[in-house]
Amino acid sequence: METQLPPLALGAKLTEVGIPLDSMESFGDDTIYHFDVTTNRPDCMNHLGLGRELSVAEGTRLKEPPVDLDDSARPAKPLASLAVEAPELCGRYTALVIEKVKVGASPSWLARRLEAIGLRPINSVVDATNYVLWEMGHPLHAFDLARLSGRAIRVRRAKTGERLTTLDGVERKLAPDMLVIADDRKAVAVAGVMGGRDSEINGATTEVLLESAHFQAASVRKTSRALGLHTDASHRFERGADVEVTLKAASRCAALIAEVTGGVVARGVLEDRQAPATRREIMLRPERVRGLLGLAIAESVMQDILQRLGCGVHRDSGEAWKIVPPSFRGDLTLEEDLVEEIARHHGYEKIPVTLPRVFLFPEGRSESEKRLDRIRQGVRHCGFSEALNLSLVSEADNRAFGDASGGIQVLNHLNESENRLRFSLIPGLLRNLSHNLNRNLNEGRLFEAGRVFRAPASPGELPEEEEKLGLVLGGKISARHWSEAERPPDFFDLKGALELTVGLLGVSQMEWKSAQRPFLVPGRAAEIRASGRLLGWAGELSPPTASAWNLDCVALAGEISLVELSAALPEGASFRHTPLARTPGVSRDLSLILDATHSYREVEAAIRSVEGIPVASVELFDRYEGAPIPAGKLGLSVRIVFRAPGRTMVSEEISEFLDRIIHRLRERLGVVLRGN
Amino acid sequence: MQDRLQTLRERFDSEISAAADAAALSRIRAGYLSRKGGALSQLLRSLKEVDPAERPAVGDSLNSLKRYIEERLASAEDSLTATPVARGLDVTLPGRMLPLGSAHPVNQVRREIEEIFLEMGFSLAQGPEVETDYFNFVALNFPVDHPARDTQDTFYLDGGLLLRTHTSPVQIRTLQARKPPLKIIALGKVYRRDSDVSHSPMFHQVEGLAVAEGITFADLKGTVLTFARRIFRDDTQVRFRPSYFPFVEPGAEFDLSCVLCGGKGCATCKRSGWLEMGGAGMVHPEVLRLSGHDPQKVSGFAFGLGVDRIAMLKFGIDDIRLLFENDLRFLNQFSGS
Repeated sequence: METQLPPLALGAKLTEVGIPLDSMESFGDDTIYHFDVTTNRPDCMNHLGLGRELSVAEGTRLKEPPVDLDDSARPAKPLASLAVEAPELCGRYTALVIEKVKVGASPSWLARRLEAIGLRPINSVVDATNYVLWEMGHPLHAFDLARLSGRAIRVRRAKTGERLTTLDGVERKLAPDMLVIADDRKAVAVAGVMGGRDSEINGATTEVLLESAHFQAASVRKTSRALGLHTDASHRFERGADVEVTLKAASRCAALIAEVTGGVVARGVLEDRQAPATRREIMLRPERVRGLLGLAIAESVMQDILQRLGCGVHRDSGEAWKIVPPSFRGDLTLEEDLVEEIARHHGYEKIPVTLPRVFLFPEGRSESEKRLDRIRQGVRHCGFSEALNLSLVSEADNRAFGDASGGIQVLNHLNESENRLRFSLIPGLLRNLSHNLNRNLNEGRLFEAGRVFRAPASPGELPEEEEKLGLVLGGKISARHWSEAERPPDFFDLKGALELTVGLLGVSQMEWKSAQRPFLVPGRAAEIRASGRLLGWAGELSPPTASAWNLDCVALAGEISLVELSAALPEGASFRHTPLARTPGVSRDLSLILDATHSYREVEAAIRSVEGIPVASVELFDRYEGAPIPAGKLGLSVRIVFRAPGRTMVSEEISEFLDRIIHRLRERLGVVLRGN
Repeated sequence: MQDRLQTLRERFDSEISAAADAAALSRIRAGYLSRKGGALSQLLRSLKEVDPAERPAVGDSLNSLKRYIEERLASAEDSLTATPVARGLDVTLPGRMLPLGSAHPVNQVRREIEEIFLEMGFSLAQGPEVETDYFNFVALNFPVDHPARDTQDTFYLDGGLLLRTHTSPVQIRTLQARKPPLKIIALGKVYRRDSDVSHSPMFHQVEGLAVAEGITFADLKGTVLTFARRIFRDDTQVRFRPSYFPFVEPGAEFDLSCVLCGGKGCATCKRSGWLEMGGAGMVHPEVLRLSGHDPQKVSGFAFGLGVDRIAMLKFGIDDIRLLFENDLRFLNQFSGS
C-alpha cells in the first residue's frame, strides 16, 4: 500500500484503531514497527493485514500481493497424492507442486527483508514460505516431494508411540490426539506446528510440495503445548486461520519460489476441502449502534466503514442490515462486534461523555465494612502500622501456626517459599517484624487485616476464606516521651490493644483464658472469647518460634477472626445511652491475699456474684507477690465503687456490703484480708 | 479619719494594679507598711488624736486595711515570682505523643476509590479470591483452549480451582445474584504468576460494572473520567483506545493524561504524556446471557484498573514490591505520624 504517513504518525494511527504500537527502530533506511496485536486479530499479524487496517484508517487504497501463476504444461495431479483422513482437524488442505527448483541462498532483497523482522535466512524455498507467512499471514510448509514415501500426503492423527524428528532436530513423541502430515509410511510433519527433518528442503531438492492448509485452532494449541513447541505457524493457527486463503497464499508463495529458484509451478492444485464455505451473515441495526455507543452517527458513515473493512453490506428492507464479514475476520460474529468495528474506525474519541441515567437506592458501606474500618483505626491508635503481605506462604509457615495439613497447595508456584495459601496472618507479620528490627528499628508493631484460607469441607468446593486480624509486637517499647524509659513489651501491651480495638465495636466483655499453643510460651498464652465464641488467641512467642523467624527479642502475636467477632456482637446498636447517675458513688479499697493459682477474673466474678449489692465497678489497682506475702500467695488490691440509683447510701450499709463481699471471697477463694 | 482611710485604700489599689515588677512592689510595700515613713504607720500614730469613743472602730478599720494591703502585696509578689519568665517550661521540648500506626498506602487508596464510587451511587461487591474456572474464565467468555487465557498467567490449585486473575469474576457473581439496574465496584486482591519491579504475584484491582436499560459507551467514558478527575487532578484527560478482552464488546483500554506532568511528558509517562491505566468496554452479550440477562433488554459497561498502580502514582513509589515488604520506615511515610 502507499501511505502518506511519517513513521510516528503511522504508529499512532494504528494505535488509535486498536493495534497499539509497542516500539519502533531503524533498520537501514527502513523503520521496523513492533505492534502488540491482540489475540482476536490473527488477521493483523502480517503486513497485508496491518496495511488493510491502515488503509481503512487512512482512507487510502490497499494493493494486494500478486497471486498470478505461470503454470507449466505439466499437471500436478499425477505428481503426488493427497488424502485428509481427519477432516474434523483439517478442513482444507491445498498443495501446489513446484518442479525443477535449484535451492540456494535467497536473493539479497528477500534475505534482507527477513533479517529486518528478525528471521534468519535459510534457503530460497524456506525463505519464500516464511516471507509469505509474514506478508499474508498464512503459514505454509514446503516438503521435498522426492523424500515423501509414495509421493503421498496423508493428513491423519498420530499413531500411539509414533515418533518424529522435527526441523529443530528434536525427536518428538506423538499421541493420537495430535494431527500429523504423513507420507504412506510415517509422519513427516506436526500439522500446523513444525515440519520434519527427513523431508526438509535441502540443496539437493528439485521438487517441492507446498502445503497451505487450514488446521483446527484448539487442536494446534493443544499439540503445541503438549510438545512445548511454539512456532510462528502454531501462533497463527491457534488464533484462527482463514480457510478461504489457502490457495491464494499457496499461489503467491509458489510464484515466489519459482522466481527465486528458477523452478516451474505444475498446473493445477491438489486439494481436499471438507470445510463448508465461510459465509456468516450478521444482523446489524443502526439504532443499536447508536444506542450502545451513545453516539449519533450517520448510516452512511457506518456503511462506509464496514465496506472499507471488506464487509458486504446488504440493506434490503426494514431496519436491520445484513452484514457479511470477510473470511479472514473470524472474530466478527455478533452485532456488537460490528458496533466495535464502526466505533474504532469512527474514533472512540468522538463518543460523547455522559453519566449513567440510572436511579438506584444508595447502599453505602455495609455494616461489616464499617466495622473493619473501625478495627483498622482502633489498632492504628494503639501504635500498630498496617501491613499487607502476600497470601502465598510456605508449607512450614502454615504448619508452624496450626495447619497440620500444610495448607492449600499452589500447583504451579513461582518458588517454594510461596507454594501455599496462608492459614494465618502471623507468619507474614513476623517476617515483617524481623525485617524491621534487623534494620535498627527499636520497636515493631504491625497488623494486618486480610483473608486466610482453609481447605474446603468436601473436594471440589471452594476453600473457606476467613477475614482475620493479626497483630505482632516486638523489640523494645520505645519511650513515648523523653521523660520515660523504654522497656520490653509484655502480654498486657497486646491485650490492651485488642481490648481497645474490640471495645470500639461495642464488645465490652471479652473472656481471656489461659491456653496452650505450640508456638506460644506456656503460661503466657490465652484464648479469647466473646459471647461464648472463640475469637482467637494471643500470647508471647515461644523462643524456638521466634528464632525461626530470626527474632532475638520478646515478641508477641495475636490473631482473631473478624467473622467470629461480628457474630459475637450485640444485636442492634452497639452503643446505648444509660441515664447518668445523679447520686454519688462510694468507693472502698480491699487488699486481698489468696492462692496464686487463682485468677483476677475469679476475684472480680466473686465480688459481682453477691446478690443485692449495687456494685458500679470493680478495678484492680495493685498486684503483688513476694515478701511480706507468703510464698504461693498473691496480693491483689481492688477498688469497688457502690452506687444506688436515686439515693445516698449510709455508712452502715456500705460496711454490710463489704462484709458480705469479704465473706463470699473467703468462701469461694479462701481470701484473707491483708493486715488482718 | 474614716475618709482618709478610704482615700488611702483607693490610692493603694491603683498603685498596685499598675505595679509591673518586684521593684515597684517593694516601693509600694515601703510606702505603706514601713515602720518609719509608711502611710499606715503614720495613720496609726495619729490614732491617739481620734476621739476616744470612735477609737476602737477606727482601729478596726485601720487593722483591716493593713491586712488587706499585706494580702494583696503578698499575692502580687507571689504571682510575680511564679511567672514562667523566671523558671518556665522549655516549651520546645517534644510533646508526649500517643502512639499512632499508619494505614497501608494501598488501603488508603482503596478507601478513597470506594468513597468516590459510593458517592457516584455504586455499591461495593466482593467475591472469593480462590475461584473456579467457570467464574474466572468461562462465564467471562474466555473460550476453553483459547490463547486469550495465556495472557492471564494463572496460579492453579487442586480440584480445578485457581487464584482469581482479575476481579471480573465478581461481575458474574453480581449478575447472578442481582437484577439490573445495578452499579457495583469490586476491589480486592488478584494473583498472576509474575514477579519483577512492576509485577507482584499478588496485587489489587478495582472493577466497575453498571448494567441497566440504555447504558452506553458514553456512560462508560463519563464514569471513568469522573473517577480519574476525583482520584488524581481535576484537569485529568482520559483517552480510550480500542482493545480486546473476551468479556467486553466493544472493548477498550484507557490512558490518563500523566498525573505528574499534566500531559507535557516526563519520565513517569515515558515522555508520552499518557499513562496506561486499565481495560474497559461494554459487557459482552454472551456474558449477560450466561448470567441470565437478555442483552437485547439491558446493556452494561465494565472497567478494571490497578489499585497498587494508583497508589504508586499518588505516593511516588517506583517499585511495586515495596508495597508488600512492610518496612515501617516506608509505611510511616504515608501516615503523617
